[in-house]
Formats: sequence, structure tokens, C-alpha cells
Amino acid sequence: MKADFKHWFASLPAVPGMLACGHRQPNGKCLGHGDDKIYTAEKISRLLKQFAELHEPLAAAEFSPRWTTWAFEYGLLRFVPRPDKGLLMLLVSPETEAARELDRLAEEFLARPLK
Amino acid sequence: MAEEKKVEAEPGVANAPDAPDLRGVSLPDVVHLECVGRNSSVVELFQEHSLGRIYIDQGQIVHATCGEISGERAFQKLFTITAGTFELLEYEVPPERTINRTWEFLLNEVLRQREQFARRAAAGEDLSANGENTPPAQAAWTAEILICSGAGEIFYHWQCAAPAERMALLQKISAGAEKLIPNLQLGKLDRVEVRLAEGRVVLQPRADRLVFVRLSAAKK
Repeated sequence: MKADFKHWFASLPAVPGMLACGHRQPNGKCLGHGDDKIYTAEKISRLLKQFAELHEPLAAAEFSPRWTTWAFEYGLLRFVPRPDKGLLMLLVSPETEAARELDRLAEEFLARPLK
Repeated sequence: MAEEKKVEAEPGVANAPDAPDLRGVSLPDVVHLECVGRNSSVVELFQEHSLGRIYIDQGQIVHATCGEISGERAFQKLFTITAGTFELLEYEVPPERTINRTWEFLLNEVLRQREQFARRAAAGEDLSANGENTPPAQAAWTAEILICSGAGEIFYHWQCAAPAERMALLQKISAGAEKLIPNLQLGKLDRVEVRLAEGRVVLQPRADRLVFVRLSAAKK
């Protein structure tokens, strides 16, 4: 994985309002950052796997989503799939800088080369 | 005093209520979803102070206020406001019922007026000279609607070419959401928004109903 991408991904937790972020690489390996008590690396990996399963019917329904946002009472969960099977997950508090930056971060992920 | 149900945009941020907010949802989207979902709520627009309110009772728009005016005129006026933000509040009984038309008619009328404004602006007419507020150029057009019961009984569909497929999709998403929710500790799921290359899809996979709305960036 490119050092540039690693650096970008490592910078995500510093965005105010970012609760957790995860990245599933095309080879299936997962990376995650989050609050160790609530959003552990294991939980982030599980979420990425669950969403990858949910993404299949959406992709099959002719939509080809650029990204998907799950709006909960106390948080927004953004999943961004790439054509190379890479997947980004961002979990943010609503009405924070991280929430405002979701689209920009998703666009950056889609545009950034992994290799 | 209405209890705040969910904040749709950061209070005090002077973004246009018609522009997608932090959840990617604009004022027409919210009114549309509340009506389609047969919800009861009050949508309040404000900029430092309240600019107006739309009262929705079980999916029907029953009352609107905008400054000193009320009724349909107030409803239409609220969609021309280009600054401020909005909140979705718990329903409260309006002081009177001033609107009796269907929500489909009212929202179509908003879109019709926008087209009219756009045509006049394109023709070079100075709309501000008449004191008219120009509606924001950005608009999403409803392309497809499906409403089902939680068990999958279809209540309503509009321009939905494959309702059974859409319903199956909603059921899969709903089942998937149930798996996600215990892991997240983020409260109830409000909606799922799918950003497409052109437009977006909004899904409401709730226990008692499943709602699918596809919004297109351009009118077909």
C-alpha cells in the first residue's frame, strides 16, 4: 500500500467528530482506528465485512453506488466502495467538522491510488 | 413547545435550506420523505429566528406559516428562501388547518414554480427587481417511489418499474441494518442514503414500513 495513502488514512482520526474509521483492502485485510473502548479494531473489521455483504444487493440493483450513508440518531456511518474492492468506512458524530467533510473525504478516497 | 426530534443541519449555519445538509438531505427531500412515510412532524425553517413552519399530519401537509402569511402561499414561499436552515420537530397540533390539497400537488407546484423561475431567469428577466426570491438552482426530482409494510405488502408505488425487486432490496437492507445496529450503539436508524453517479436513493427500512425514494439530478 502506498505510503501516501497510509499517511492520509492515519490522519483521519484527527478530524474533529471522527469516531472511527476503517479500511478494507482489496485483499480483504482491514485497518481501523477508533475509540478503543467502543469501536475496537475487531468491531470495525466486523462492520466492514457486514457492509460488504449489504453492498452486494445495492450494486446488483443497477445503482452502482458511489457511497452509502447510514444516518442513525447519534451518528453517521459512511461506506465508500472502490471498483478495486477497497472499502472505506467513516463513523462520525452529526453536526461536526467530520460530518461536514464526509463528501470531501469520500472523494479523496476514491481518487487516491492505493498501490 | 415542540421537542426536537432530530437536527437536520447545524443551527446558525447560514446554508440554504434547499441545499443538501449534513445528511445530504434538502428541505424538499425532508418534506417529501415525511409525507411518503406518512409521518407526523413539524419542519421549521430558521435563520437566527424562526422563518416559518410546515405542519405534516400523518403524511398530509395541513398547515404552513411564513412570517405573517399562512396556508399554501406560505408553503410555496418557504421553498424560495435561500438562506437559513431547518429542523425536523416532533408533531404538534397546528393552531388551524390552512391547507387541504395533497402533498403531491403541493410539491409538484413548488417544482413547477421553479421551472417557471428558471425559464424567466434564462430569458434575462430581473426577478429581484420585483422583490421575488429566486429559488435555488439545485433541485432533485423524484424519479421513483415505493412504500411497503414491514411485512412487504405494497401500499403505494409511483413510476416504480420493478416494485417486487425494490421491496426485496429494502427487506435485505432492513435485515442487514438489524445486524449492524447492535454493534454500533448509535440509536435508531433513520435512513440510508445511496449516492449515485446522478442523483440518489433514500431508503427508510423501518419495522412498520419500508420506503424507497429515488431522486434524480435532472428531470427526465
